[in-house]
Amino acid sequence: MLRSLKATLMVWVVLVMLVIVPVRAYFGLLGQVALNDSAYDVALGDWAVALGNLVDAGADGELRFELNTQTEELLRTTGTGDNIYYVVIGPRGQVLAGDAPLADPPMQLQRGERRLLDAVHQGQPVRMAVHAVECGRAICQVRVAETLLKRESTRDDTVLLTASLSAGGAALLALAIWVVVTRTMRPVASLNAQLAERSLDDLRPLRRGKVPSELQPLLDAVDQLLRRVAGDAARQRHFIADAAHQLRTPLTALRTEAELALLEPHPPAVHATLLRVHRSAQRVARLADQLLALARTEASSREPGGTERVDLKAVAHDAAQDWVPRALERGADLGFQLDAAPVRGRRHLLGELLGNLIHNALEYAHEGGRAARITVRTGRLDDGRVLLEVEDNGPGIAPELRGQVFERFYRLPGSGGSGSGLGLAIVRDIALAHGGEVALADGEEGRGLRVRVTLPAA
Amino acid sequence: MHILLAEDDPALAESTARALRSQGWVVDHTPRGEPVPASVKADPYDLVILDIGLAGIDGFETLQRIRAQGSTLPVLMLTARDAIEDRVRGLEMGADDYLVKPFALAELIARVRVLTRRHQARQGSVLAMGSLRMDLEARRAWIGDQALELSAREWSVLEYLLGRVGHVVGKEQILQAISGWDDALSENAVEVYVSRLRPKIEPAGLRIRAVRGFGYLVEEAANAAPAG
Repeated sequence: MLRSLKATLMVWVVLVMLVIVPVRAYFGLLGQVALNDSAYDVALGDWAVALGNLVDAGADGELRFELNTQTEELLRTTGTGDNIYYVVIGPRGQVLAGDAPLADPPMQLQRGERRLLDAVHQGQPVRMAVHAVECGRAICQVRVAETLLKRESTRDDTVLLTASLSAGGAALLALAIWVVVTRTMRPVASLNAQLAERSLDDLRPLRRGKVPSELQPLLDAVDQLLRRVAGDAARQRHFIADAAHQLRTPLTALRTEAELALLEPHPPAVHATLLRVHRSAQRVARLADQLLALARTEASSREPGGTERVDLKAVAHDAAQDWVPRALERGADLGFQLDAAPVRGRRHLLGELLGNLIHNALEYAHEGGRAARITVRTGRLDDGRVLLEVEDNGPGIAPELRGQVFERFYRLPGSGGSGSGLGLAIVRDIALAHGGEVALADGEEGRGLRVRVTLPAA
Repeated sequence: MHILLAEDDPALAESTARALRSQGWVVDHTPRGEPVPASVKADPYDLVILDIGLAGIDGFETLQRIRAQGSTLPVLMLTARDAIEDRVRGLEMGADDYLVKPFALAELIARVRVLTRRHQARQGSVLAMGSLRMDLEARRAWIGDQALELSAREWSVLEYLLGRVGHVVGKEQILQAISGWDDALSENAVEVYVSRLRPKIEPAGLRIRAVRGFGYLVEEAANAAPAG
């Protein structure tokens, strides 16, 4: 089944033409040939009549037929290579003049009757005109026959002409239909291009242009779908904001209570319990944060607009305000190598991306047993893209596991920390939403982990 | 210190207030935003902690009303929503800092300290932190009773750092702030002044932490976590 409307249309037009054109040409040819033949027949008949006028019944009742050389020459000369024969037959069947074999077979004709028929003369097919003329009181017959050369050559010419006209006409028609179809489909092609060029978050209605009326309902349906998607995305974003608020406040209370209980005097027996409550509260809080971040990434990347020119260097500056104190508190060395790296995107999502990378690095770098050293880099790459990179000197990730760590809720075997297994999934989702990608590599000196996010430059 | 806490979640308000009181601070609590502007006018609070998601008029509106009556009181916003969107809006409206729920108690207390210190440090023409005082008008500095000798450039760097306590300050920023009278300064020069300042302010209980590839952060040594 052909998918292309244009191809389908063309195939059917060609198939129909393949049937119609030969049939039409055949019947046209029949008509033309009959017309030609009847014209030749008239000429042949005229000769029979003319020769009939030369039969003379004298007063003595003797029949005479005289053909002068000039007329005979005129009769015999055809210019087409055809041979012309004639015979004049008396009332009793006797041959008065001409080619005797032509007198066979005998025929009975009424007075004045003229007949045209196919016959064979000297083994050759001929066309023959038979004319009954009055000779005295009786009836004589004049028969004129000619070979079929000119008829056949005319027929061949006619066939050739008709066939060429039909084929040429069919080709012209096909070309015309192709041009018309192509022109008619042009708005469809421009719609295709428009849709193909669209970025994922562009949910504005389609530009119509000169679109055929048959396509309008389809376009209306697409526009309506786009509006609904945009509306859904906005509703979802609001729901997520509300859910975040509803979740975070009680989680903060839970965490604060646990911390307060740990600070205030408490029986030694409950100390371990309080620690576990506190740790769980922290984990649930982070999990809620990350689930919301995932949902928010999905929702806002479908919502139209909202992107701006963002310098990743500025995003890293913001992150420094949040993360440097936390890193110092943990005794980690959080450093920066920042160059301008402009991208087009959503600033809060890019901040979320970097926050997750730094959080992961802080969380796991400690497991390396050394003082954690984390470096955040931004800058332009030679290929015109920009880079955001976070490197740590922690235990790293074995190459064979690097493909899996982007899966949601995947946690490295034997990893401690309070990780949820969502951080890198969030990083990947946000990078993809910005047309970028994430790669994992060893850190410098083959130790640790380097997470490199590359994005198209703005 | 006297703190006004506007938070409508009873459990969180209770625990937060308890945590702040454990530091020896006085805390008043209100679950709504409407009375906050009047309270701020009537009583000499040192800080307002304002939840954005209050019932009735929200935190943004409350903040606007506080600022509309000309108050420069430090305001710490608590947000449970998308941090950066709220941060930008809050800071534009005149909040001094923000904290995203769920926060750690230690972080809340540290922010409160920084904000009130920054506010007090800006009172009049004196910057103060630890036992260091800088009189900006007289251009004289003391650690306790001891006069502190600073070169002009050291003075500029220290003034800039103390004016932004609690923030990581970029070397570029410092350079821009001090190079008004000498355009030939480099970031290396900033490093030199900082390294000269470090031993001078250490007796005041202050330390300048370097943030690699970025800049500096001033801390009170007693308040700072042990390195390593």
